[in-house]
Amino acid sequence: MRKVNKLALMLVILLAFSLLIAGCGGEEAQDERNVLRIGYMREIESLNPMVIWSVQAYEVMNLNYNYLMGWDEDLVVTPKLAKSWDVDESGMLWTFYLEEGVTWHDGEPFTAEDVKFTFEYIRDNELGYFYDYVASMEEIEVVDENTVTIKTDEPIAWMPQILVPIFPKHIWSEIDPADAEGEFTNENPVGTGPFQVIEHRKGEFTRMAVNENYFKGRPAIDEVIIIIYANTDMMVEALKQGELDVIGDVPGAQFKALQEVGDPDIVALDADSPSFTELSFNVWEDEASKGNPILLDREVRIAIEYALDRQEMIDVALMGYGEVGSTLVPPLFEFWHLDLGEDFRAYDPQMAVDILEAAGYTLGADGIRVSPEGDPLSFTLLIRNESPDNQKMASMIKDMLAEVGIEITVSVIDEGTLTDRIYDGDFDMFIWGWYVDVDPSSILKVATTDEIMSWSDCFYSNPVYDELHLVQQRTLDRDQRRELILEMQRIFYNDSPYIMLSYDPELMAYRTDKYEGWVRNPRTGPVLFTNIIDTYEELRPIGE
Amino acid sequence: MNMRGYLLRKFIQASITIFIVVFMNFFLFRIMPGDPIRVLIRNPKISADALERVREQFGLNESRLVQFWIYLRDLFSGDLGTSFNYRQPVWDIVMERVPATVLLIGTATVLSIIIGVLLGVIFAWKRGTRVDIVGLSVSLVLYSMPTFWVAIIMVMIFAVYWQIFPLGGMGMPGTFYASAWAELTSQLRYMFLPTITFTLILIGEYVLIMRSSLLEVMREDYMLTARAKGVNNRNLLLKHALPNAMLPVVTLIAINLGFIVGGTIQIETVFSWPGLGRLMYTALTNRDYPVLQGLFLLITIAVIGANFCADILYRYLDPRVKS
Repeated sequence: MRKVNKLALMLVILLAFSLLIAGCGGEEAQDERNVLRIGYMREIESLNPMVIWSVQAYEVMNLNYNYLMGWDEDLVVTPKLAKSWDVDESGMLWTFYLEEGVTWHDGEPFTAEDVKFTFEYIRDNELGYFYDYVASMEEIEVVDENTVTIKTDEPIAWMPQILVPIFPKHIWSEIDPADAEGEFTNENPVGTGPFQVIEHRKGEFTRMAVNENYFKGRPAIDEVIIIIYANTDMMVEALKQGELDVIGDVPGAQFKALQEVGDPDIVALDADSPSFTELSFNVWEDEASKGNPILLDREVRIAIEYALDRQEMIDVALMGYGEVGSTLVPPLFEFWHLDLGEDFRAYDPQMAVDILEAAGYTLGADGIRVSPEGDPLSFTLLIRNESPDNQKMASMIKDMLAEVGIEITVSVIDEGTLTDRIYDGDFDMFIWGWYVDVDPSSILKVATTDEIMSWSDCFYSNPVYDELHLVQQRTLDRDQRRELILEMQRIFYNDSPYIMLSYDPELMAYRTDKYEGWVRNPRTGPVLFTNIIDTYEELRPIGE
Repeated sequence: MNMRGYLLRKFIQASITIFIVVFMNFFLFRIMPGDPIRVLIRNPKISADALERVREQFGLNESRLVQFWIYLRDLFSGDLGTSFNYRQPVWDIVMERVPATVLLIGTATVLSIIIGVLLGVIFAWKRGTRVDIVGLSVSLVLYSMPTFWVAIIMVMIFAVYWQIFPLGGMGMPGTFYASAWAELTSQLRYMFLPTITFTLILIGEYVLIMRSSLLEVMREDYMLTARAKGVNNRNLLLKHALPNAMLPVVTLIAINLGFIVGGTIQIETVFSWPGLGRLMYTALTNRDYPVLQGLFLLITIAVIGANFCADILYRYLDPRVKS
């Protein structure tokens, strides 16, 4: 029949056409440039540093702009835009000596005026996350073109770690502050950094070209492209096929598969991250608290800690990646982290039972313990539905605590609702996490009394801890300050308003057959997606 | 009823539907738990002044009814609001993504209709033969396969095992092409897998509908009459059977639009295709309500618009509708 013949002809043509397309691969021009392709799963929400919040958007900002300072692999502060600095005896007057001959991407000279402008612009308009770093700057003065002094209202220990990128005055002074926090897109960001964004397609990719005049020396990489994937398996496959050079934020399952394949050209890097996951109790000693008052008893909280097999939880929920948690400052920050040694409450269910018995919580008929007042040890554990890992952990917690006579009801809610309930004091316990800054001050501050109804999420209050925090904030001597910070971690651990479930891993993978010079920073940390951009500065094609 | 009255009535019906959707859309997102201000400002340390400023900027300081009124007013001037996540006009963000999705959906829909209708005709014509039985089973299988599953299988075969097509995306950013022809073929290569996957997903239904509709028509008396009059097979099919059998297909195309949007979320996710489906998914995970609201509105208008067109087309295809 003629009809069928025509159809067959059409199908043949279609097939031939698709084979033609398939065969046409590799027609791309020979590309002499060194392009670093990074795969990531989450979108870069904006190029405007005043409104960004995600790690990946910060990465772009960190490449496009510079801070005054950086860090080495021991997290000791190193020069960047400021080549040196000093502080007077009062500890409140800082002088920064800036690099000379630095230019903005558009060729304008970078001067002390830009530094003064940036800090004042953010301080006076209370912009973004940066405001915290400049809020205490009382006076900023330009001494000469390359020198700027900053007077703070009190001695500040985290100085000079001002995590604020320096913006060009000649561009940002034209921008209405309301716009800066609003619809300003910053489409062609002008900074001093080693790379500059040349093309940004939301949800697709961000291309950055090398800054030929970068003041620390032109990087060997000509172009950095962050490509956004919607599907992890495809991203991992693209790395395997050599389309990508490095991928970040790899889920445990895919990471394990990568490790097992053992491709000699791919490094699967299980790095420490600055974040942790905690079980937070409501320890608010206020009438407004809607939490179960039994949890105000420290004995119950530490019994819970003994009853939890955290290694098992990490093995199951995190595919074994991650480390059992202990204190507020993760071990990534080796210098500041307190090693509890003998004092750590490792898994010991018998100990949990003993503590509960001694405190008068006796076993009821239904296997649930009751307090001396006759109230059952029955709590609600709130979990974010955004985190499948936390949900797995929660069901294990429920089983482990049932073993020692504590009943847990797991309730999965969304982040918004959980936040509302936290601010309402309406919870017994929940699982969530924190991302810790390079300087430990901010995470320690979360647990101070002043932060109740602000950053605090367990409503912990201890005057000794609060006092130590104030002192450490003003202690400029690094070793002296370390003692104070270790002591704070010890107090917090003893009072146990949090049980640190895990120090979370940062799983990434990169190819070693094209570039060399991957820098882990800090020492046990990842190669990308930190505030440190050494990898981009050091990376070079193999054999050059 | 005359044409103008008919159009007017249909138009009013469509407008009422759209208004109801706009209304539900707006309040649906407002009754969801969690204060949107927490999404806007991920920093609890923000000062009360700054908080108020942001509230004002996004109009969150007004009562819900006033907010709805403002939303409606802005809507009529083409303003869909400002994205919480990108801090940019929703209209711009959505329009940025429209071409990618229209390209994907459009190509796949056209391909699947042409091939699906053709195959449907053939199977109906050769009903009961081996061609029909095999074709029918394959169509049923295609029709019932989950979208993401087909997509993943396609990737596994063509992009991972054989590696003759790219894994995903609309092209490899930062690539220089030797010629415009090289660029075009490269883009076609990137388009190939998602388009074929979508076509496979859609085609089964068109084959099935076309086949059964044509079979029904062929049983009609007028077909017998035509045959008796000595009309040859070719004309019998093209002039007498097809025009009548096409009616359900037109309805299906219009109805399918809503379903296609669901499919595009999955296909765009598997293939990292930067279209509306992915935008919707990201907006959902980021609680970007203004963007979601804008997308829902756009889809509503597209679906209602398609049905409106189908109604008119129907009148043209089927004179019985006029009376």
